[in-house]
Amino acid sequence: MALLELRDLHTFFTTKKGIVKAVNGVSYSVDAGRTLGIVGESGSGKSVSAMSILRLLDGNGYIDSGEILFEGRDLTKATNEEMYKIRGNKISVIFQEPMTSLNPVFTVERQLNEVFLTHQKVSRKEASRRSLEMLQAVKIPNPTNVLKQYPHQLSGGMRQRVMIAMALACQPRVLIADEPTTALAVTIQAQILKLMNDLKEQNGTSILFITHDLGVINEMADDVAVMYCGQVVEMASVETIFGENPYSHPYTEGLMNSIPRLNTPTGVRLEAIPGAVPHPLDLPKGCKFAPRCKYATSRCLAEEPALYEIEDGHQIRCFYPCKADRTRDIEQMKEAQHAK
Amino acid sequence: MAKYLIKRFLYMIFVFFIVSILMFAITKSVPGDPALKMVNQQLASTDPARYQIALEEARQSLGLDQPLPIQYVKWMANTLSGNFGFSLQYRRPVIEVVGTPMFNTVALNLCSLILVFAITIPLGIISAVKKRSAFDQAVQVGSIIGYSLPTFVIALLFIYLFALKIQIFPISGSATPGTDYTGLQRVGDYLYHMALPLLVSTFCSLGGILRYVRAAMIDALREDYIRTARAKGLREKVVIYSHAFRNALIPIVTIITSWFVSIFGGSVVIESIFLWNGLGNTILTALRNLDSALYLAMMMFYVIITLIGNLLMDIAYCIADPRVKLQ
Amino acid sequence: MSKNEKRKSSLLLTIRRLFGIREKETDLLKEEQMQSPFRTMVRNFVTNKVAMFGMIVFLLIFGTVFIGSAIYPLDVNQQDTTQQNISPGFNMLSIPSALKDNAQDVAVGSTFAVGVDRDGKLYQWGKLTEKLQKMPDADKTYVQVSAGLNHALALTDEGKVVTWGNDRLGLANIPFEVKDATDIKQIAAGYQVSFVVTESGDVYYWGNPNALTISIPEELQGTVDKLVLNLTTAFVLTKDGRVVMLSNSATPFANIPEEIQGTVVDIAANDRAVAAVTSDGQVHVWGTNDYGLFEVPEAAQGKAASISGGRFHFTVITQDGTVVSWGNDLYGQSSAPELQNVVSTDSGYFQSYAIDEDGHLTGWGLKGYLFGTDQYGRDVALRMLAGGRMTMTIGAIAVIISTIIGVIIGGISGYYGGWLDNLLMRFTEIVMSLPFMPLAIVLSAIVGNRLSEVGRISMIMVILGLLSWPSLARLVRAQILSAREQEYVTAAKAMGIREFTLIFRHILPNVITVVIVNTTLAFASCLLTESSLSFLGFGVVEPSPTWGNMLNSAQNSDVIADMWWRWVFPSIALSLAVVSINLIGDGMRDAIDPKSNER
Repeated sequence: MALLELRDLHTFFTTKKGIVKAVNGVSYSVDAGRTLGIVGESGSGKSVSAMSILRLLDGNGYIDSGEILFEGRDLTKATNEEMYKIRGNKISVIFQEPMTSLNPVFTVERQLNEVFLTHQKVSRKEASRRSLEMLQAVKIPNPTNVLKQYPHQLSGGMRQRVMIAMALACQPRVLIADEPTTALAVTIQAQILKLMNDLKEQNGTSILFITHDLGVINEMADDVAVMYCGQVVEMASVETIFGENPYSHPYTEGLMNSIPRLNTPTGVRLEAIPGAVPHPLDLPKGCKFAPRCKYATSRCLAEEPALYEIEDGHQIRCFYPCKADRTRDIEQMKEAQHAK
Repeated sequence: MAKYLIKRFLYMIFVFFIVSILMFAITKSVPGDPALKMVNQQLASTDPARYQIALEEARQSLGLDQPLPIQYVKWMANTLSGNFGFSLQYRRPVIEVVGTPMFNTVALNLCSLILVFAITIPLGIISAVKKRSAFDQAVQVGSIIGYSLPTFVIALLFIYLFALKIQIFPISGSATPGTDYTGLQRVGDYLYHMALPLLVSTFCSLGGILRYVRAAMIDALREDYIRTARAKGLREKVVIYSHAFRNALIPIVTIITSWFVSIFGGSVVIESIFLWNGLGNTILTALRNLDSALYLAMMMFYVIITLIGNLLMDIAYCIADPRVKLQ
Repeated sequence: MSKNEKRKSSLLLTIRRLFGIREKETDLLKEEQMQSPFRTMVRNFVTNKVAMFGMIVFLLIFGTVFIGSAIYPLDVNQQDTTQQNISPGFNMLSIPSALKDNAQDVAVGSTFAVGVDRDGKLYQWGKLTEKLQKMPDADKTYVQVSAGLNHALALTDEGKVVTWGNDRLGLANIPFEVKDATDIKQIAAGYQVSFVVTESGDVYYWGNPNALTISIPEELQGTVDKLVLNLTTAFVLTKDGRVVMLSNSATPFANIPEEIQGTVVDIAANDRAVAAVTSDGQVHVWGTNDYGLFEVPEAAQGKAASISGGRFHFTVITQDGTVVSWGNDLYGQSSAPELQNVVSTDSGYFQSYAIDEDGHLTGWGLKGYLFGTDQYGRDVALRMLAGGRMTMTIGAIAVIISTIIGVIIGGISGYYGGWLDNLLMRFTEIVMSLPFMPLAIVLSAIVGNRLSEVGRISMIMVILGLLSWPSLARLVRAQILSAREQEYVTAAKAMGIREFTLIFRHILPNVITVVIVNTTLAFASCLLTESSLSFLGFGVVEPSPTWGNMLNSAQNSDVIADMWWRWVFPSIALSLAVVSINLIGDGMRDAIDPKSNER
């Protein structure tokens, strides 16, 4: 059984101009000790789905329907009291912005201690000792000094390490990493990712890894869910997504084609997905991706495809999942046009 | 920090001198000869010669016969050595005159400060947390009206309501006339007289500060670290009162001091209406009687209060925000 | 399409583009993306209900004050002792319906009127003081009434005089001669005095001996036919048609024309002139020729039968029974309606009443004051209009001064930086550390003493302007600094855009919005400061009104408790103005700052 499972989750935001369906029927699951990578452009609902798990939505957001099962319990029905005990203890988060995610007016020690004091019955002294241990675990140089420092005195990478220390302080079952490396320099990124992987190995923590960087997904994830406009459009193991596979969603294909690879022949231009993500209040009627999809047919524009399992452990939300078929069709069309 | 304070202090002294020159110049441009007030006017008709001599003597004793720069230096030297001159109106040294008013003003404003914060901070926090609720909307409308209404309008209204229609407070003064209370009874009578000016002063400041607290709190609540704090599993109370409020304090501290300085100046109106024997009232009577030594001393006192207020603001800001380093 | 038309349409297009009018209404979301920031700001503002409410209220106040004070100009020196502290309302001419068609006699008091109907029943209406409200016995039958400043007299059919209203200054002490007299012909109530004329031609009076310095010569007693009085003196008409003034002063009132003596049939006095009707129907006026009092209308001259006088006007009944009024027409008291068969009139203060043969009573003149009057009898509403204009003008000019200084200093400081910035900012700090209110008071008291009224008013504008610019200067500087560091400005610089263009295209728009918002909010605070100064007596001083100094006289418990109209109305006007300006300023700030939308 999956450790954490989202079933048909709908999370909406009320705005002045209408209801934004940020997460519109998402289902995915994270198994114990595994990493689920969620990819998507900004606004695809990947972060919102993760925040829904902890019920940490902004004031105007709410879970409309669906289930979030954690250790067999539905978190959407949990009391506030229960949620307090889960947050930071069983499920914790690392955020994207290490610069602003730490409280600037408290020392690192105070912010770390808080976690222990909240979730474990320990003395202040013991909490400080454990905080020091955590800083050592995340390989911060000179941890005793760092404990006494304020966040603004630390570099971005260091702050993210503090965030990780804070997130892993209570050895949570699930760690939600919401673009933890986006704001960091590339070399620091690699260090942070390695650190996360190491800690995952040590503690057996499951990770929900949210990013728009396919390279990072390839490195970190066991399974991948691709999201677009509040829906999962493709879900498979990382090997399936990145390997040679006859089936894929055109959006995934577009994402793949837009990243440079070592084996890309010289002279071949990287392909960008044309257009922009539709406005959340003005979603297309049929397949949400259809307006930007080069294979889109009139059926795609009129009718919305469902997510279905095309092969074992590989789900796709597309009427034309077979890569080869799509390519052939489009070439035929081009020829036909040429003939005219 | 120490280095900064010394630098700041030197700067304050510089400003103090600039302002004192300015004030001195303004005072000296007043029409009318203060020496006239020192001399018995009946002499002018009975014995003009002696009158002239007496006038000259008075001028000399006031130092009016010397050139302005020397007068200024003398005045400044006297002021710095604690001799603020002689009040013509009270016929006593200024330093003796200003003691009671100073105490009264500080007492009124300090009490008002405490009351204002006791009310606005919880109200502002609740309003920010329950943003856009009916409560918040009511607080918002109330505060914009509160900070728009002129002090004297509120004073008149409160006098009408609480001193005339429902006679629970005295209209003016700082002690019941004709009584000779001692000890606790006297303090009680004092507080009883202070109640209405205090209410007005507090009421007038509520709106502005409330808006400020609310805005600061809303800004703080929107920060990323609040989400982090929630994600850590902290209870909402801890998130609001510890994490968010501690950050909201930074802008609030900035406003407190500048506001405190301004209510010192603004209490002139309240003191005048309620005949509260404070600095404001004293400066008004000094002006009406052209008692230059007295109002010059008062002005300098206001300047010092403002300067010290600004210094305190810097220090408080530095304490509230660890990111700020004074240099 | 002809060439001309084409040009026209392209011009039209340019204009439309200039004002941001788009040809096709694109859908909601695209439009939002395409809108210029300024247009977004305007739309945000217009859709903000609270801000728009503030805007409407402010425009209403602004319009009322400026247009109103132009239509009803205020004579700042005008005062009227008879009209002091009158409460608001328009009931001075509200004749009781029972009296309306059955009137026998009527008398006009300062703010009220007394009447008696043909059945001898007493009525009174208008602004009645507490003492006036205690009317005399209703059982008795009355035949004549007279009203003074704040007391009234009535004559019963038994020839007894009763008095009510003000009972101080000896007004309640009716002399024994009057009490005993049975042949009283005329009663007359004036300013703190009461007179009685008997059939036998004797005059008696009582009340405040200092109110009118008059003496009745012994030889006059027994010859008096009628007595009239104004606020300063009294005249009698003798039975042989002569006019005699009862005081020996050298006022213009004493210039009684010799040629009329012996032929006078009726006299009337007002507070500027005295008029006499001679037997040939001519009206002779002497005294002071104010309000055109000497210019007797043609309709009355030669045809006059009897006359009565108000405070600054006369009313004549002609021989054909019509009425003619002339004199001061501020409240319409000289605009007599067309009436027929009038048998008696009474004019007093600012009203006139006429009774015709059938007992119909008609009144014209002052109905009352919208917001009452103040301690000098000045119309509060009129002063509020002029005062509002003064307050707003001072506030606006002060704000303009402070904005100009603030923008220049902040702009130079932010743009040039370096030592200049340092110097200017130190200077700004010094000005900021000046205690605002005390300094303004001191400056106003010291400098203002030597100035004329206009000079004083301008000085207040300058003081307010000179003391309130530092915060704006700092804002402008900060805005310019942050604009200079914005990526788009760096990008524009990198693209080689000239500095001038850079300032006007990229930096200025950012600064302007801040300046507009700040100016609006500063306007509100300038209104408050000016009012506070004037309230304390250190701003604009009497007689020029501002909303602040109108409240200056309200600093005593009697006024606060009993003459609420004197402080409530100016307070409301000032508060409404400031609240509405603040609402506008807040709305604009929200419109500019998208972040604050979430607040």
